[in-house]
Amino acid sequence: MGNLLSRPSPPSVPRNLDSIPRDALNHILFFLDLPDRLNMRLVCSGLERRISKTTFYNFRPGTSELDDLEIGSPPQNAHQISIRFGSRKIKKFDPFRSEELMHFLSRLFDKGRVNSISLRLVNFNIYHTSYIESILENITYKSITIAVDSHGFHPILSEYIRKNHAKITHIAASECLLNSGEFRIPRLPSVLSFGSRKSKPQKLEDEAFLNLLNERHGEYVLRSACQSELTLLKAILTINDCPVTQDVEFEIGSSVLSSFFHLIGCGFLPGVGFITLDNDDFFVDNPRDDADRWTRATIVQHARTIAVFVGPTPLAPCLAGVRITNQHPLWRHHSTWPPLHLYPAQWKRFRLNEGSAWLDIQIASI
Amino acid sequence: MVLITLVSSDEQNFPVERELLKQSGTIETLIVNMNLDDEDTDAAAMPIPLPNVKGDVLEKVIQWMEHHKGDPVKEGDNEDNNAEIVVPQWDDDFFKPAMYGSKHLELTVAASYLDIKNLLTLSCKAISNTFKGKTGPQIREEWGVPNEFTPEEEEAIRKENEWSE
Repeated sequence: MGNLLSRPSPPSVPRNLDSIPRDALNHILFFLDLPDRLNMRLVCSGLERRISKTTFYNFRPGTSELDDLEIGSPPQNAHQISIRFGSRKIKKFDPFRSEELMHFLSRLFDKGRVNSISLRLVNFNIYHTSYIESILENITYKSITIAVDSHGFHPILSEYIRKNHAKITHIAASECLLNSGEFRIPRLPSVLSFGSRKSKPQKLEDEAFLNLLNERHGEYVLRSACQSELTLLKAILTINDCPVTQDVEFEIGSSVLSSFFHLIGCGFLPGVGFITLDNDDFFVDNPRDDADRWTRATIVQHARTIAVFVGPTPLAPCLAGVRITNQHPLWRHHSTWPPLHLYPAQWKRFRLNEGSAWLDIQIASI
Repeated sequence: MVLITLVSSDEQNFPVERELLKQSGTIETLIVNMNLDDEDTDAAAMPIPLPNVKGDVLEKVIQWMEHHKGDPVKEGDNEDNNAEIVVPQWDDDFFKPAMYGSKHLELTVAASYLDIKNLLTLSCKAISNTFKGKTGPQIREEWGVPNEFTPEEEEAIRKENEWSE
Protein backbone atom coordinates (compact mmCIF):
# COMPACT_ATOMS: atom_id res chain seq x y z
CA MET A 1 0.00 0.00 0.00
CA GLY A 2 2.94 2.26 0.77
CA ASN A 3 3.98 2.14 -2.86
CA LEU A 4 0.53 3.09 -4.03
CA LEU A 5 0.49 6.16 -1.87
CA SER A 6 3.98 7.21 -2.91
CA ARG A 7 2.90 7.95 -6.46
CA PRO A 8 3.36 11.56 -7.57
CA SER A 9 0.40 13.68 -6.58
CA PRO A 10 -1.99 14.58 -9.34
CA PRO A 11 -2.47 18.21 -10.30
CA SER A 12 -4.78 20.26 -8.15
CA VAL A 13 -8.44 20.49 -9.00
CA PRO A 14 -9.10 23.22 -11.57
CA ARG A 15 -11.73 25.81 -10.66
CA ASN A 16 -11.82 27.65 -13.97
CA LEU A 17 -10.24 27.84 -17.40
CA ASP A 18 -7.26 29.71 -16.03
CA SER A 19 -6.29 26.87 -13.71
CA ILE A 20 -6.39 23.97 -16.17
CA PRO A 21 -3.16 22.00 -15.81
CA ARG A 22 -0.68 22.58 -18.60
CA ASP A 23 -1.01 19.10 -20.14
CA ALA A 24 -4.78 19.38 -20.36
CA LEU A 25 -4.52 22.92 -21.74
CA ASN A 26 -2.11 21.66 -24.40
CA HIS A 27 -4.57 18.92 -25.27
CA ILE A 28 -7.45 21.39 -25.61
CA LEU A 29 -5.41 23.82 -27.68
CA PHE A 30 -4.38 20.96 -29.97
CA PHE A 31 -7.86 21.04 -31.46
CA LEU A 32 -7.89 24.78 -32.07
CA ASP A 33 -6.67 26.54 -35.17
CA LEU A 34 -4.72 29.77 -35.10
CA PRO A 35 -7.62 32.27 -35.03
CA ASP A 36 -9.25 30.44 -32.11
CA ARG A 37 -5.92 30.22 -30.34
CA LEU A 38 -5.48 33.96 -30.73
CA ASN A 39 -9.00 34.59 -29.42
CA MET A 40 -8.25 32.47 -26.36
CA ARG A 41 -5.60 35.02 -25.41
CA LEU A 42 -8.38 37.56 -24.95
CA VAL A 43 -10.23 35.50 -22.34
CA CYS A 44 -8.14 36.36 -19.29
CA SER A 45 -4.62 37.39 -18.42
CA GLY A 46 -3.81 33.93 -17.06
CA LEU A 47 -4.63 32.24 -20.36
CA GLU A 48 -2.99 35.05 -22.29
CA ARG A 49 0.22 34.34 -20.42
CA ARG A 50 -0.04 30.57 -20.38
CA ILE A 51 -0.86 30.09 -24.08
CA SER A 52 2.60 31.34 -24.99
CA LYS A 53 3.98 28.44 -22.93
CA THR A 54 2.04 25.75 -24.77
CA THR A 55 2.58 23.77 -27.94
CA PHE A 56 1.02 24.99 -31.17
CA TYR A 57 -0.15 22.31 -33.58
CA ASN A 58 -0.98 23.17 -37.13
CA PHE A 59 -1.78 20.17 -39.27
CA ARG A 60 -4.68 21.69 -41.13
CA PRO A 61 -3.62 24.20 -43.73
CA GLY A 62 -7.17 24.14 -45.13
CA THR A 63 -6.06 23.30 -48.62
CA SER A 64 -3.54 20.84 -50.00
CA GLU A 65 -2.03 23.70 -51.97
CA LEU A 66 -0.65 25.22 -48.79
CA ASP A 67 1.98 24.04 -46.38
CA ASP A 68 1.31 24.18 -42.66
CA LEU A 69 3.88 26.91 -42.21
CA GLU A 70 5.33 29.14 -44.89
CA ILE A 71 8.25 31.48 -44.43
CA GLY A 72 8.85 33.68 -47.40
CA SER A 73 9.44 37.03 -48.95
CA PRO A 74 6.48 38.76 -50.58
CA PRO A 75 7.01 39.19 -54.34
CA GLN A 76 6.49 42.95 -54.07
CA ASN A 77 9.17 43.34 -51.41
CA ALA A 78 11.94 40.77 -51.47
CA HIS A 79 13.57 42.43 -48.46
CA GLN A 80 10.59 41.76 -46.23
CA ILE A 81 10.03 38.44 -44.51
CA SER A 82 6.59 36.99 -43.96
CA ILE A 83 5.11 34.09 -42.09
CA ARG A 84 1.87 32.23 -42.71
CA PHE A 85 0.31 29.37 -40.80
CA GLY A 86 -1.94 27.30 -43.05
CA SER A 87 -4.59 29.41 -44.70
CA ARG A 88 -4.24 32.13 -42.08
CA LYS A 89 -3.35 35.45 -43.61
CA ILE A 90 0.22 36.51 -43.82
CA LYS A 91 2.07 38.39 -41.10
CA LYS A 92 4.82 40.55 -42.52
CA PHE A 93 7.88 41.77 -40.70
CA ASP A 94 10.26 44.53 -41.51
CA PRO A 95 13.66 43.55 -42.79
CA PHE A 96 16.60 43.79 -40.41
CA ARG A 97 14.29 43.78 -37.38
CA SER A 98 14.35 40.08 -36.85
CA GLU A 99 13.58 40.42 -33.15
CA GLU A 100 10.00 41.39 -34.05
CA LEU A 101 9.36 38.03 -35.67
CA MET A 102 11.03 36.11 -32.88
CA HIS A 103 9.01 38.00 -30.28
CA PHE A 104 5.81 37.34 -32.22
CA LEU A 105 6.51 33.61 -32.29
CA SER A 106 7.50 33.47 -28.62
CA ARG A 107 4.16 35.09 -27.71
CA LEU A 108 2.30 32.58 -29.86
CA PHE A 109 3.75 29.32 -28.56
CA ASP A 110 6.55 27.64 -26.73
CA LYS A 111 6.88 24.79 -29.19
CA GLY A 112 5.30 24.29 -32.58
CA ARG A 113 4.44 21.08 -34.39
CA VAL A 114 3.54 21.03 -38.06
CA ASN A 115 3.76 18.53 -40.88
CA SER A 116 5.18 20.63 -43.67
CA ILE A 117 7.16 23.81 -43.96
CA SER A 118 7.90 25.79 -47.05
CA LEU A 119 10.65 28.31 -47.54
CA ARG A 120 9.25 30.34 -50.37
CA LEU A 121 11.50 32.72 -52.25
CA VAL A 122 13.33 33.72 -49.10
CA ASN A 123 16.15 36.00 -50.10
CA PHE A 124 19.11 34.11 -48.65
CA ASN A 125 21.42 36.97 -49.59
CA ILE A 126 19.62 39.02 -46.92
CA TYR A 127 18.41 36.38 -44.53
CA HIS A 128 21.11 33.93 -43.58
CA THR A 129 20.03 30.31 -43.23
CA SER A 130 20.96 30.56 -39.54
CA TYR A 131 18.12 33.08 -39.19
CA ILE A 132 15.70 30.56 -40.72
CA GLU A 133 17.07 27.93 -38.36
CA SER A 134 16.49 30.21 -35.39
CA ILE A 135 12.86 30.69 -36.47
CA LEU A 136 12.42 26.94 -36.74
CA GLU A 137 14.36 26.15 -33.58
CA ASN A 138 11.29 25.35 -31.50
CA ILE A 139 9.21 23.95 -34.32
CA THR A 140 9.06 20.25 -35.14
CA TYR A 141 8.24 19.36 -38.74
CA LYS A 142 8.36 16.41 -41.10
CA SER A 143 9.06 17.89 -44.50
CA ILE A 144 10.40 21.00 -46.17
CA THR A 145 9.65 22.50 -49.53
CA ILE A 146 12.09 25.04 -50.88
CA ALA A 147 11.39 27.48 -53.67
CA VAL A 148 14.30 29.63 -54.67
CA ASP A 149 15.17 31.91 -57.56
CA SER A 150 18.43 33.35 -58.79
CA HIS A 151 17.94 36.59 -56.80
CA GLY A 152 17.44 34.81 -53.50
CA PHE A 153 19.98 32.04 -53.97
CA HIS A 154 23.14 32.06 -51.92
CA PRO A 155 25.65 29.19 -51.80
CA ILE A 156 24.93 28.87 -48.05
CA LEU A 157 21.55 27.38 -49.04
CA SER A 158 23.36 24.33 -50.41
CA GLU A 159 24.78 23.74 -46.94
CA TYR A 160 21.33 24.13 -45.40
CA ILE A 161 19.97 21.60 -47.90
CA ARG A 162 22.79 19.22 -47.07
CA LYS A 163 22.00 19.45 -43.35
CA ASN A 164 18.28 18.91 -43.87
CA HIS A 165 18.37 16.60 -46.87
CA ALA A 166 16.27 13.88 -45.24
CA LYS A 167 13.33 16.24 -44.78
CA ILE A 168 13.38 18.00 -48.14
CA THR A 169 10.64 16.68 -50.35
CA HIS A 170 10.18 19.37 -52.98
CA ILE A 171 12.51 21.85 -54.56
CA ALA A 172 11.44 24.49 -56.99
CA ALA A 173 14.41 26.31 -58.44
CA SER A 174 13.88 28.87 -61.12
CA GLU A 175 14.88 28.14 -64.70
CA CYS A 176 17.43 30.92 -64.59
CA LEU A 177 19.04 29.52 -61.44
CA LEU A 178 19.17 25.93 -62.72
CA ASN A 179 20.70 27.00 -66.02
CA SER A 180 23.26 29.18 -64.27
CA GLY A 181 25.06 26.12 -62.94
CA GLU A 182 25.36 27.77 -59.49
CA PHE A 183 22.67 25.63 -57.96
CA ARG A 184 24.73 22.72 -56.71
CA ILE A 185 22.93 20.61 -54.19
CA PRO A 186 23.68 17.25 -52.62
CA ARG A 187 21.83 14.08 -53.53
CA LEU A 188 18.35 14.18 -52.07
CA PRO A 189 16.92 10.71 -51.44
CA SER A 190 13.51 12.03 -50.40
CA VAL A 191 12.93 14.69 -52.99
CA LEU A 192 9.68 14.22 -54.84
CA SER A 193 9.73 16.98 -57.36
CA PHE A 194 11.62 19.79 -58.89
CA GLY A 195 9.13 22.49 -59.68
CA SER A 196 5.43 21.82 -59.74
CA ARG A 197 3.36 19.54 -61.92
CA LYS A 198 1.10 22.47 -62.56
CA SER A 199 3.77 24.90 -63.61
CA LYS A 200 4.98 25.21 -67.15
CA PRO A 201 7.98 23.02 -67.87
CA GLN A 202 11.25 24.76 -67.32
CA LYS A 203 13.37 25.34 -70.37
CA LEU A 204 16.58 23.88 -69.06
CA GLU A 205 19.77 23.76 -70.98
CA ASP A 206 20.51 20.13 -71.83
CA GLU A 207 23.63 20.25 -69.70
CA ALA A 208 21.73 21.52 -66.64
CA PHE A 209 19.06 18.88 -67.22
CA LEU A 210 21.56 16.04 -67.44
CA ASN A 211 23.45 17.37 -64.43
CA LEU A 212 20.29 17.14 -62.37
CA LEU A 213 19.69 13.61 -63.58
CA ASN A 214 23.26 12.72 -62.71
CA GLU A 215 22.68 13.83 -59.13
CA ARG A 216 20.55 10.69 -58.83
CA HIS A 217 17.95 12.04 -56.48
CA GLY A 218 15.14 9.68 -55.47
CA GLU A 219 11.80 9.53 -57.19
CA TYR A 220 10.95 12.90 -58.54
CA VAL A 221 9.29 14.83 -61.27
CA LEU A 222 11.54 17.13 -63.19
CA ARG A 223 9.52 19.27 -65.46
CA SER A 224 11.93 20.19 -68.13
CA ALA A 225 12.11 20.66 -71.84
CA CYS A 226 14.43 18.18 -73.52
CA GLN A 227 16.06 19.82 -76.47
CA SER A 228 17.69 17.08 -78.48
CA GLU A 229 17.31 13.37 -79.21
CA LEU A 230 20.82 12.77 -77.88
CA THR A 231 19.83 14.39 -74.59
CA LEU A 232 16.82 12.12 -74.41
CA LEU A 233 18.99 9.08 -75.07
CA LYS A 234 21.53 10.20 -72.45
CA ALA A 235 18.67 10.75 -70.01
CA ILE A 236 17.44 7.20 -70.56
CA LEU A 237 20.91 5.77 -70.10
CA THR A 238 21.53 7.89 -66.99
CA ILE A 239 18.30 6.75 -65.40
CA ASN A 240 19.12 3.17 -66.32
CA ASP A 241 22.44 3.48 -64.47
CA CYS A 242 20.83 4.78 -61.33
CA PRO A 243 20.54 2.17 -58.58
CA VAL A 244 17.39 3.74 -57.15
CA THR A 245 14.06 4.27 -58.75
CA GLN A 246 13.70 7.44 -60.72
CA ASP A 247 10.63 8.86 -62.30
CA VAL A 248 11.45 11.74 -64.57
CA GLU A 249 8.76 13.60 -66.37
CA PHE A 250 9.61 16.13 -69.01
CA GLU A 251 8.37 17.53 -72.23
CA ILE A 252 9.86 16.80 -75.60
CA GLY A 253 9.48 18.70 -78.80
CA SER A 254 7.69 16.59 -81.40
CA SER A 255 10.60 16.85 -83.76
CA VAL A 256 13.02 15.74 -81.03
CA LEU A 257 10.84 12.74 -80.25
CA SER A 258 10.67 11.80 -83.91
CA SER A 259 14.44 12.04 -84.20
CA PHE A 260 14.82 9.92 -81.09
CA PHE A 261 12.75 7.12 -82.58
CA HIS A 262 14.86 7.28 -85.70
CA LEU A 263 17.98 7.19 -83.56
CA ILE A 264 17.01 3.96 -81.83
CA GLY A 265 15.93 2.49 -85.13
CA CYS A 266 12.22 2.08 -84.75
CA GLY A 267 9.50 3.30 -87.01
CA PHE A 268 9.78 5.76 -89.83
CA LEU A 269 8.49 9.27 -90.13
CA PRO A 270 6.24 10.31 -92.94
CA GLY A 271 6.19 13.84 -91.57
CA VAL A 272 7.31 15.99 -88.69
CA GLY A 273 5.88 14.90 -85.39
CA PHE A 274 4.13 11.80 -86.70
CA ILE A 275 5.59 8.42 -85.85
CA THR A 276 4.49 5.19 -87.46
CA LEU A 277 5.30 1.87 -85.90
CA ASP A 278 3.90 -1.49 -87.02
CA ASN A 279 0.35 -0.49 -86.24
CA ASP A 280 0.48 3.28 -85.82
CA ASP A 281 0.52 3.18 -82.04
CA PHE A 282 2.12 6.54 -81.72
CA PHE A 283 0.40 9.67 -82.72
CA VAL A 284 2.57 12.32 -81.21
CA ASP A 285 0.73 15.39 -82.27
CA ASN A 286 -0.90 16.99 -85.24
CA PRO A 287 1.74 16.83 -87.96
CA ARG A 288 1.87 20.49 -88.71
CA ASP A 289 4.84 22.66 -89.47
CA ASP A 290 5.07 23.73 -85.87
CA ALA A 291 8.20 21.93 -84.75
CA ASP A 292 7.98 23.38 -81.26
CA ARG A 293 4.94 21.43 -80.11
CA TRP A 294 5.64 19.53 -76.92
CA THR A 295 4.66 16.08 -75.79
CA ARG A 296 4.87 14.94 -72.21
CA ALA A 297 7.13 11.99 -71.61
CA THR A 298 7.71 10.08 -68.42
CA ILE A 299 10.68 7.81 -68.05
CA VAL A 300 10.44 5.22 -65.31
CA GLN A 301 13.11 2.78 -64.34
CA HIS A 302 11.32 -0.34 -63.28
CA ALA A 303 13.45 -3.28 -62.16
CA ARG A 304 16.20 -2.20 -64.52
CA THR A 305 13.86 -1.96 -67.45
CA ILE A 306 13.30 1.50 -68.77
CA ALA A 307 9.77 2.45 -69.60
CA VAL A 308 9.03 5.56 -71.57
CA PHE A 309 5.49 6.82 -71.47
CA VAL A 310 4.51 9.22 -74.17
CA GLY A 311 1.25 11.05 -74.21
CA PRO A 312 -0.73 14.03 -73.06
CA THR A 313 -2.08 12.35 -69.91
CA PRO A 314 -0.06 12.77 -66.71
CA LEU A 315 1.19 9.45 -65.44
CA ALA A 316 0.19 9.92 -61.84
CA PRO A 317 -3.54 9.04 -62.19
CA CYS A 318 -2.57 5.73 -63.81
CA LEU A 319 -0.41 4.85 -60.83
CA ALA A 320 -2.81 5.68 -58.03
CA GLY A 321 -4.16 2.86 -55.95
CA VAL A 322 -2.37 0.01 -57.70
CA ARG A 323 -0.28 -2.32 -55.58
CA ILE A 324 3.01 -3.87 -56.46
CA THR A 325 2.78 -7.61 -57.03
CA ASN A 326 6.40 -8.44 -57.72
CA GLN A 327 8.39 -6.08 -55.61
CA HIS A 328 11.91 -5.44 -56.71
CA PRO A 329 14.44 -5.20 -53.86
CA LEU A 330 15.40 -1.72 -54.94
CA TRP A 331 11.86 -0.44 -54.65
CA ARG A 332 11.14 1.65 -51.68
CA HIS A 333 8.60 0.27 -49.28
CA HIS A 334 6.14 3.08 -49.91
CA SER A 335 6.13 2.76 -53.65
CA THR A 336 2.78 1.90 -55.15
CA TRP A 337 3.92 1.40 -58.67
CA PRO A 338 2.60 -1.66 -60.43
CA PRO A 339 4.45 -4.00 -62.77
CA LEU A 340 4.61 -2.59 -66.23
CA HIS A 341 2.10 -5.00 -67.70
CA LEU A 342 -0.59 -3.49 -65.47
CA TYR A 343 -0.32 -0.06 -67.00
CA PRO A 344 -3.23 0.84 -69.22
CA ALA A 345 -1.09 1.27 -72.25
CA GLN A 346 -0.14 -0.19 -75.57
CA TRP A 347 3.43 -1.41 -75.33
CA LYS A 348 6.26 -1.63 -77.80
CA ARG A 349 9.54 -3.16 -76.75
CA PHE A 350 12.96 -2.33 -78.13
CA ARG A 351 16.47 -3.35 -77.34
CA LEU A 352 19.17 -0.77 -77.47
CA ASN A 353 22.81 -1.69 -77.62
CA GLU A 354 24.42 0.16 -74.74
CA GLY A 355 28.12 -0.58 -75.15
CA SER A 356 28.50 -4.24 -74.40
CA ALA A 357 25.07 -4.66 -72.82
CA TRP A 358 21.55 -4.56 -74.13
CA LEU A 359 19.13 -2.14 -72.65
CA ASP A 360 15.45 -2.99 -72.72
CA ILE A 361 13.27 -0.04 -73.53
CA GLN A 362 9.54 -0.33 -73.38
CA ILE A 363 7.58 2.49 -74.86
CA ALA A 364 3.90 3.10 -74.41
CA SER A 365 1.48 5.74 -75.47
CA ILE A 366 -1.11 6.63 -72.88
CA MET B 1 -16.46 -11.22 -12.25
CA VAL B 2 -13.42 -9.74 -10.48
CA LEU B 3 -14.02 -6.43 -8.74
CA ILE B 4 -11.38 -3.94 -7.69
CA THR B 5 -12.22 -1.14 -5.30
CA LEU B 6 -11.25 2.42 -6.11
CA VAL B 7 -11.23 4.93 -3.27
CA SER B 8 -11.85 8.57 -4.07
CA SER B 9 -10.24 11.49 -2.27
CA ASP B 10 -13.37 11.94 -0.16
CA GLU B 11 -13.19 8.30 0.98
CA GLN B 12 -15.97 6.92 -1.20
CA ASN B 13 -15.50 3.31 -2.31
CA PHE B 14 -16.27 2.25 -5.88
CA PRO B 15 -16.08 -1.48 -6.67
CA VAL B 16 -15.27 -1.63 -10.36
CA GLU B 17 -15.14 -4.56 -12.78
CA ARG B 18 -11.48 -5.45 -13.41
CA GLU B 19 -12.00 -5.46 -17.17
CA LEU B 20 -13.12 -1.84 -17.20
CA LEU B 21 -9.93 -0.66 -15.55
CA LYS B 22 -7.86 -1.70 -18.54
CA GLN B 23 -8.88 1.63 -20.05
CA SER B 24 -6.83 3.48 -17.44
CA GLY B 25 -3.11 3.32 -18.05
CA THR B 26 -2.34 4.52 -14.52
CA ILE B 27 -4.53 1.94 -12.74
CA GLU B 28 -3.50 -0.85 -15.08
CA THR B 29 0.17 -0.20 -14.30
CA LEU B 30 -0.59 -0.25 -10.58
CA ILE B 31 -2.53 -3.49 -10.81
CA VAL B 32 0.28 -5.20 -12.70
CA ASN B 33 3.09 -3.81 -10.53
CA MET B 34 1.30 -4.65 -7.27
CA ASN B 35 0.16 -8.11 -8.37
CA LEU B 36 -3.44 -7.15 -7.70
CA ASP B 37 -4.50 -9.64 -10.35
CA ASP B 38 -3.15 -12.51 -8.27
CA GLU B 39 -6.18 -13.85 -6.42
CA ASP B 40 -3.98 -15.99 -4.17
CA THR B 41 -2.36 -13.00 -2.47
CA ASP B 42 -3.68 -10.49 0.01
CA ALA B 43 -2.98 -7.78 -2.51
CA ALA B 44 -5.99 -8.83 -4.55
CA ALA B 45 -8.31 -7.40 -1.96
CA MET B 46 -6.38 -4.15 -1.64
CA PRO B 47 -8.32 -1.01 -2.56
CA ILE B 48 -6.68 1.55 -4.83
CA PRO B 49 -6.70 5.07 -3.42
CA LEU B 50 -7.08 7.88 -5.92
CA PRO B 51 -6.16 11.06 -4.03
CA ASN B 52 -7.56 14.25 -5.54
CA VAL B 53 -10.14 12.47 -7.71
CA LYS B 54 -13.35 13.32 -5.92
CA GLY B 55 -16.18 10.83 -5.60
CA ASP B 56 -18.59 12.59 -7.95
CA VAL B 57 -15.88 12.89 -10.61
CA LEU B 58 -14.76 9.28 -10.18
CA GLU B 59 -18.37 8.19 -10.52
CA LYS B 60 -18.58 9.98 -13.88
CA VAL B 61 -15.28 8.44 -14.99
CA ILE B 62 -16.57 4.94 -14.16
CA GLN B 63 -19.85 5.67 -15.93
CA TRP B 64 -17.87 6.70 -19.03
CA MET B 65 -15.66 3.58 -18.85
CA GLU B 66 -18.72 1.34 -18.55
CA HIS B 67 -20.18 2.79 -21.73
CA HIS B 68 -16.87 2.42 -23.54
CA LYS B 69 -16.14 -1.08 -22.27
CA GLY B 70 -14.43 -3.05 -25.02
CA ASP B 71 -13.41 -0.01 -27.04
CA PRO B 72 -9.86 -0.28 -28.34
CA VAL B 73 -7.47 1.61 -26.09
CA LYS B 74 -5.35 4.13 -27.96
CA GLU B 75 -1.66 3.37 -28.21
CA GLY B 76 0.41 6.55 -28.24
CA ASP B 77 -0.69 9.74 -29.93
CA ASN B 78 -1.40 9.94 -33.59
CA GLU B 79 -1.73 13.68 -33.80
CA ASP B 80 -2.63 13.78 -37.47
CA ASN B 81 -5.68 11.58 -36.87
CA ASN B 82 -6.64 13.22 -33.59
CA ALA B 83 -7.00 16.56 -35.32
CA GLU B 84 -10.07 15.36 -37.21
CA ILE B 85 -11.77 13.56 -34.34
CA VAL B 86 -15.52 14.03 -33.83
CA VAL B 87 -17.19 13.69 -30.43
CA PRO B 88 -19.84 10.93 -30.71
CA GLN B 89 -23.40 11.83 -29.73
CA TRP B 90 -23.40 9.73 -26.53
CA ASP B 91 -20.23 11.42 -25.29
CA ASP B 92 -21.52 14.84 -26.27
CA ASP B 93 -24.64 14.21 -24.17
CA PHE B 94 -22.44 12.85 -21.38
CA PHE B 95 -20.31 16.00 -21.21
CA LYS B 96 -23.12 18.49 -21.78
CA PRO B 97 -24.51 18.77 -18.22
CA ALA B 98 -21.08 19.66 -16.85
CA MET B 99 -20.07 21.89 -19.73
CA TYR B 100 -18.90 25.45 -19.02
CA GLY B 101 -18.16 24.49 -15.41
CA SER B 102 -15.40 23.25 -13.18
CA LYS B 103 -16.85 19.71 -13.19
CA HIS B 104 -15.93 19.23 -16.83
CA LEU B 105 -12.46 20.54 -16.15
CA GLU B 106 -12.12 18.18 -13.17
CA LEU B 107 -13.22 15.27 -15.35
CA THR B 108 -10.58 16.24 -17.91
CA VAL B 109 -7.86 16.45 -15.29
CA ALA B 110 -8.95 13.09 -13.85
CA ALA B 111 -8.77 11.54 -17.33
CA SER B 112 -5.26 12.93 -17.70
CA TYR B 113 -4.19 11.68 -14.26
CA LEU B 114 -5.72 8.25 -14.74
CA ASP B 115 -4.31 8.10 -18.28
CA ILE B 116 -7.62 7.28 -19.96
CA LYS B 117 -6.58 8.43 -23.41
CA ASN B 118 -9.92 8.19 -25.19
CA LEU B 119 -11.75 10.06 -22.42
CA LEU B 120 -9.06 12.74 -22.30
CA THR B 121 -9.17 13.22 -26.07
CA LEU B 122 -12.96 13.41 -26.26
CA SER B 123 -13.25 15.62 -23.21
CA CYS B 124 -10.65 18.08 -24.51
CA LYS B 125 -12.26 18.04 -27.92
CA ALA B 126 -15.64 18.82 -26.36
CA ILE B 127 -14.12 21.73 -24.42
CA SER B 128 -12.31 23.05 -27.48
CA ASN B 129 -15.58 22.93 -29.42
CA THR B 130 -16.97 25.55 -27.02
CA PHE B 131 -14.16 27.91 -28.07
CA LYS B 132 -14.36 27.51 -31.82
CA GLY B 133 -15.34 30.66 -33.68
CA LYS B 134 -15.93 32.55 -30.42
CA THR B 135 -14.41 35.86 -29.42
CA GLY B 136 -12.56 36.28 -26.13
CA PRO B 137 -15.48 38.12 -24.47
CA GLN B 138 -17.95 35.44 -25.65
CA ILE B 139 -15.82 32.69 -24.09
CA ARG B 140 -15.50 34.76 -20.91
CA GLU B 141 -19.26 35.08 -20.67
CA GLU B 142 -20.01 31.40 -21.37
CA TRP B 143 -17.41 30.10 -18.93
CA GLY B 144 -18.05 32.78 -16.32
CA VAL B 145 -14.52 34.15 -16.40
CA PRO B 146 -14.17 37.71 -15.03
CA ASN B 147 -12.58 40.27 -17.34
CA GLU B 148 -9.24 41.21 -15.85
CA PHE B 149 -7.98 43.26 -18.77
CA THR B 150 -7.93 47.03 -18.87
CA PRO B 151 -9.30 48.40 -22.17
CA GLU B 152 -5.72 49.30 -23.11
CA GLU B 153 -4.43 45.79 -22.45
CA GLU B 154 -7.27 44.25 -24.41
CA GLU B 155 -6.65 46.59 -27.33
CA ALA B 156 -2.93 45.76 -27.32
CA ILE B 157 -3.67 42.02 -27.58
CA ARG B 158 -6.23 42.63 -30.32
CA LYS B 159 -3.63 44.58 -32.26
CA GLU B 160 -1.10 41.82 -31.81
CA ASN B 161 -3.68 39.31 -33.06
CA GLU B 162 -4.18 41.20 -36.31
CA TRP B 163 -2.67 39.73 -39.48
CA SER B 164 -2.01 41.68 -42.62
CA GLU B 165 -3.64 41.17 -46.07
